[in-house]
Amino acid sequence: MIIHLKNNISITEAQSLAAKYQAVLIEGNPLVLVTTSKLKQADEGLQLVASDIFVTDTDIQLAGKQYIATKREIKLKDLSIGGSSANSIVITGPCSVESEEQIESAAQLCVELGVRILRAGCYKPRTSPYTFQGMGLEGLKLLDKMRSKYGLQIITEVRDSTHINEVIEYADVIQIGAKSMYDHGILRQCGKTTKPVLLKRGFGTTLQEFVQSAEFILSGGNPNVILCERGIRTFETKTRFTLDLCGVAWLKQNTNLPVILDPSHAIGYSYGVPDLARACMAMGIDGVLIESHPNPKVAKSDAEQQLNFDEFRALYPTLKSAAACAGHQVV
Amino acid sequence: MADTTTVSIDNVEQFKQQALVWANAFNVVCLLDSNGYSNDRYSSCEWVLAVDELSNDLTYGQEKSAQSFSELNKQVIAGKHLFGFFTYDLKNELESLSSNHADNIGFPAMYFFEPRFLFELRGSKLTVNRNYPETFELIEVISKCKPTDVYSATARLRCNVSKNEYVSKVQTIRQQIEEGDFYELNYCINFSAENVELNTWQTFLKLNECAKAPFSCYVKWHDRYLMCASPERFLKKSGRTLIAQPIKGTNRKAGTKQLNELQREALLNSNKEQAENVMIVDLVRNDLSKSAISGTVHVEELFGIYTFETVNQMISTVSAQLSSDVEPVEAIKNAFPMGSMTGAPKVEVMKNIEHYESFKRGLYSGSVGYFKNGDFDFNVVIRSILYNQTTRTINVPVGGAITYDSVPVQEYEEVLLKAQAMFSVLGAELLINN
Repeated sequence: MIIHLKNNISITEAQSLAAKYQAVLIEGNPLVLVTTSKLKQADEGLQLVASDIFVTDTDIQLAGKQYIATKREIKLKDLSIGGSSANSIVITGPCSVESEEQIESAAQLCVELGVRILRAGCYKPRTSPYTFQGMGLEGLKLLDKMRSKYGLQIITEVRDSTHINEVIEYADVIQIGAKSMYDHGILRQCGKTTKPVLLKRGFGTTLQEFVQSAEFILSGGNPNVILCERGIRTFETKTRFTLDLCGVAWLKQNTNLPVILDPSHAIGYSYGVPDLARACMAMGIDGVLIESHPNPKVAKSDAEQQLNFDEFRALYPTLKSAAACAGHQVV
Repeated sequence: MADTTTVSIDNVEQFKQQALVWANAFNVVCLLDSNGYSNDRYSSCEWVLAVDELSNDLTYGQEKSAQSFSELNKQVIAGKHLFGFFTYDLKNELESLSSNHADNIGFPAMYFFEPRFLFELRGSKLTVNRNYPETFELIEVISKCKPTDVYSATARLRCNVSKNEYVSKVQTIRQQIEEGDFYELNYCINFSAENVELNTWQTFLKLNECAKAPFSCYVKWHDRYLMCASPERFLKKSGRTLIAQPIKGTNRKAGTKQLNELQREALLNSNKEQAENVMIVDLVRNDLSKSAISGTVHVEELFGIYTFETVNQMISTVSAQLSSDVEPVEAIKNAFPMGSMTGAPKVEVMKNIEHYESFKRGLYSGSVGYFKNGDFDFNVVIRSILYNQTTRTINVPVGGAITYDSVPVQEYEEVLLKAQAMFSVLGAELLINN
């Protein structure tokens, strides 16, 4: 149950209420208490202090349509997604920052096409400890340079809590990778900032578990969460993962959070990325994340799934048409 | 790519800035801005922005330029619209000369490209080399580019020669003139700074704002940049007519119009400036006569006085009719490097310049411009800031013509006057060693 407290309730009072009802207190305006969803009826004590009460079916509470019936609007500087807009964003860039030259050419591609958000990883959660692990802080500084030089927004991934503060400082949008979806250290830390967070779905998690991870960030006080579907593990082995478009339809129907799709990681092979990306856009979603690299053959990570620049140039205008058929526009 | 589209732009000044910001994300950019001097009868364009190369087969280092001239000539005759530059050091190919000075900027000897994107502004009318939907989309993309205020450069510029050294070199040059080795020598010095993070497009916009020169240009070639506020034309070809407009003679513009009248008069009546100017006019007449139908070389205007934002200049105009057996590129080769940046006699002074100067001129005192339908227009690269982003080095070379009448200390002051706009744009702290 979500309880909005009346504005004459002080923080100290709210804290004691939270303790009494074993609720999470969000210190915003208004002050909000969130109890377990098992509590279905507000007692007299709660009714006295509440200005609004929302009862939910499951522990998808702050993210649920039962709490906010419309999609949340998330501001990305001068851009916004969700809310009443029908905006879709395109995010591109290489899997990892590998050198200044490489990331600069990616930034230049963004400017050429009007893509506003550059994505690249600096801390890579790799499957093997013996492969390239990312450039770390040096990579973040290169991304920062691209931001000031080309006026782009930066999205980059946090791998673990050792460098989370650096990522929060440098990124415009913080990405929590699929492999970190359950890392509560990261989730809680991201709840303390108000920078937008792109939360990727773990490949072995249910939609319920996925959205509950988002609840950790929302209940920490950060309302700016974007969900990202990037493929789940199924019995199929010909493609790396299976992009769960049914799940996306469910998320659109049942949550109030914007949804972005990542076709590159889902299929794992660049040949299928353009078709899949257009299919995503045609669902009327809030954006896509597509990996591109100046020379995918020599990429230090995820070489097989990244588009080269000419492939991306050819794909980009078709994304606009695909978005348009669902009444969306690419911004 | 035969498509072109013309549209109206609401806020022209803002569009110019945003377009440059957008263009700067590409590896190759050439912007030519005549700053409203386009009413001049020889003007060619108001504002042209060429971005990204369609193919990159016209870059040449030192070794290949003989072939590159003939390849360039082929493309020019084919009527291609090409943008690019010739550096001063091409002289080493054109004459039996050499240079052993270090080059800390490193533009290739010459470079031309056919642009993938081409924007031309006339008033508020913008012409783009795309069909209508693509043009609309490009303008949309450009309008999203935000000029962000990132770096404010404060460079500590150091001159490669001390004032004393300068004075004594000028004295030696005069000595040589007295001995009859040559009549006039353009001696340049270089102010440079290292480890400077420079926002190049912002620097250019500031420089252009304070100089508003008729042959301004901005060139990006990978990590090398030229920000140029040149008042001077090197050579133009229009139909069969060749026009050269050398500048010699500079003084400071006075604060009021009346006071500046006196300055203009002083410049016009200065024997020294007239002598400098006429020597170069003679040289240009000679250069043009190599390409012209005999008897057609004509001095249209001698000692014209023109006032710019910060200086008054003495400019002469020489025209000629191009002989039918001379190719357009040949006419440039016959006149390059321009006499106003060498002195006279040309080959002899170029040898001496190498001896007196201690830096490689590179693109400075070279030329930037375009070819279109066999015609061309090229400027003289002066009043410029050159920058190498990788080595983070800034060069601000400046020079002046030394003649028999030169007073060394006054020459030094003239050089500093010419550099003033660049210094103030860079917020430069000038470190002068006596």
